[in-house]
Amino acid sequence: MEPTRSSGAGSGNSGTYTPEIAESLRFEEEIQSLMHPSLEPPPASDGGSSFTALLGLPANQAVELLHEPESDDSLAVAAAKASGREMWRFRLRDPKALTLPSGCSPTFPSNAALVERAARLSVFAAEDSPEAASVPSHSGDRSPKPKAEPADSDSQPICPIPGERPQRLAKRKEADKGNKVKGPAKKTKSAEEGSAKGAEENTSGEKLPYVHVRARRGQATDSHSLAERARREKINARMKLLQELVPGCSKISGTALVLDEIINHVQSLQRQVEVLSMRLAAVNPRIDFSGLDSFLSAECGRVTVGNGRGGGGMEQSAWMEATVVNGGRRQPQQQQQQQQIWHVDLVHPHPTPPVWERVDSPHLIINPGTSLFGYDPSNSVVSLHSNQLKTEL
Amino acid sequence: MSFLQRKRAIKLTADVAMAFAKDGAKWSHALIMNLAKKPKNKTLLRSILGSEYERLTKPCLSWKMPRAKKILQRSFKMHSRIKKGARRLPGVNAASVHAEAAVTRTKVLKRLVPGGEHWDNSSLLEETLDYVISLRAQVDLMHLLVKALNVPNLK
Repeated sequence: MEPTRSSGAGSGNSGTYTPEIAESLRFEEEIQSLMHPSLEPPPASDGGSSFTALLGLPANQAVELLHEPESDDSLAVAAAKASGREMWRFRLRDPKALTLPSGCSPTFPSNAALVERAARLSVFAAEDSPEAASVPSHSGDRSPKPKAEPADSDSQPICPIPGERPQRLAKRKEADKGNKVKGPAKKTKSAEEGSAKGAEENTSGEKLPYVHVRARRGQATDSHSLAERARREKINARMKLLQELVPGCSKISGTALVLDEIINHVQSLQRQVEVLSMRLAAVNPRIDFSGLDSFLSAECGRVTVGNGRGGGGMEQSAWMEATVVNGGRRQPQQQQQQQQIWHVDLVHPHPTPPVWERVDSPHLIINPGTSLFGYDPSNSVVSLHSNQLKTEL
Repeated sequence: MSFLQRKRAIKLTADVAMAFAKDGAKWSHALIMNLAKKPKNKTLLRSILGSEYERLTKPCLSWKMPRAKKILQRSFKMHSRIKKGARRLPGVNAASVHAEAAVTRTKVLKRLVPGGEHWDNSSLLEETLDYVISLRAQVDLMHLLVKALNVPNLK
């Protein structure tokens, strides 16, 4: 099931990240000493200071930022963070790579893997565009998984793509020998750089004004092939993300089979929704509308206004459905029993908002998958519900 | 209300909730628009969405490709198809088979994701990513609901 698999992934990731974190501590102090003046600017500020400000922030603040209730801003923030992180990793020639803010919570590593990848393909946060541009253009080429990356931070990630070898040779001539990670040592067009600096940073995260790609050594540099290559790399990056998301897809190579798996997964999820909605429809409609409507509407109104989100709204609307459905029917049931039932079920909104928020935060947290992967096992919540039901009845 | 009507209402509610929770995505808008087309859904939609109903159901063409671009794309595809047809004579290459397979599967995926027919390939992939995540969240939620309500499992 999801939680077990996710917790395994999370623990695995956290294990591999700790050496990185230990290494980066010393480096972080240096950064913080530099960044302290820039701690004030808000994270959603534009320009290049945002990622530096984020890097200077302590870890818990950064976590808070990521949990801000605005998906677009937090997406840009996380993209900025992650891409900034990437940039620092590439800029520094020493093996210290700042992968994560130190002392981050254990749920973060499972975040960071997908967040990094999302950030890599997002050209949105184009603070320092040459570097950030090299990041998304790398995303298509880079095969190492996030777990292997920390181990490979010293040695060059081995890329099986033949086009990369002439690149590496070119780089060895230019870049210094300490860090063999692919860096900004690529041929660039001056025109691109000029327009890169003029590119605005996009906080909406939906449309890209310009896509800046670097021409690789030995490849055509006319605008058409560049644009094509940028498109292809975007598509490849997104395919990689999808591969990671769909279980069992990472081993498969080849676009068609991966697409097959994705289609199967989507279809199975849709079928599951159907089945579950049938099971929910089988709930015995024992609810009597009389005498409870005022209480119910008050509760529903309060909760829906308070939540304003789909998860809570869904439960409430499901309940409202049930009441509206059975409003016409006068079932000969004891009112007290129903009142008890209703009281119990309306008590749920109080503990449930945390649950809904956690489950619902797919749209709040940047990498929505993590909230599912990271939340506490449903067993505890479910047992809470069933206990409440049992005690009341 | 009959069983099937209930089930349909629940599914509708769940879908609307899921789409509403992720308002920044294209598929959510498309899903709500698709649901709003049928007349029998309208009352339920209105009651759920409340104030947002008008905003969400007005047709938004910003993410649909403009018509001129569509015409250009179609003519380009025709042209490339003609070219490929001419080149197909020297035997079946793996590349062309692969490309065809990818194209057919992309078409299937476009049908699955709500509103997928109008987007180009890369945004299609991005939206399916989003959609899969939201679908998974919805399934988890409904599982929780089922467990919480202690729905009897009849087999």
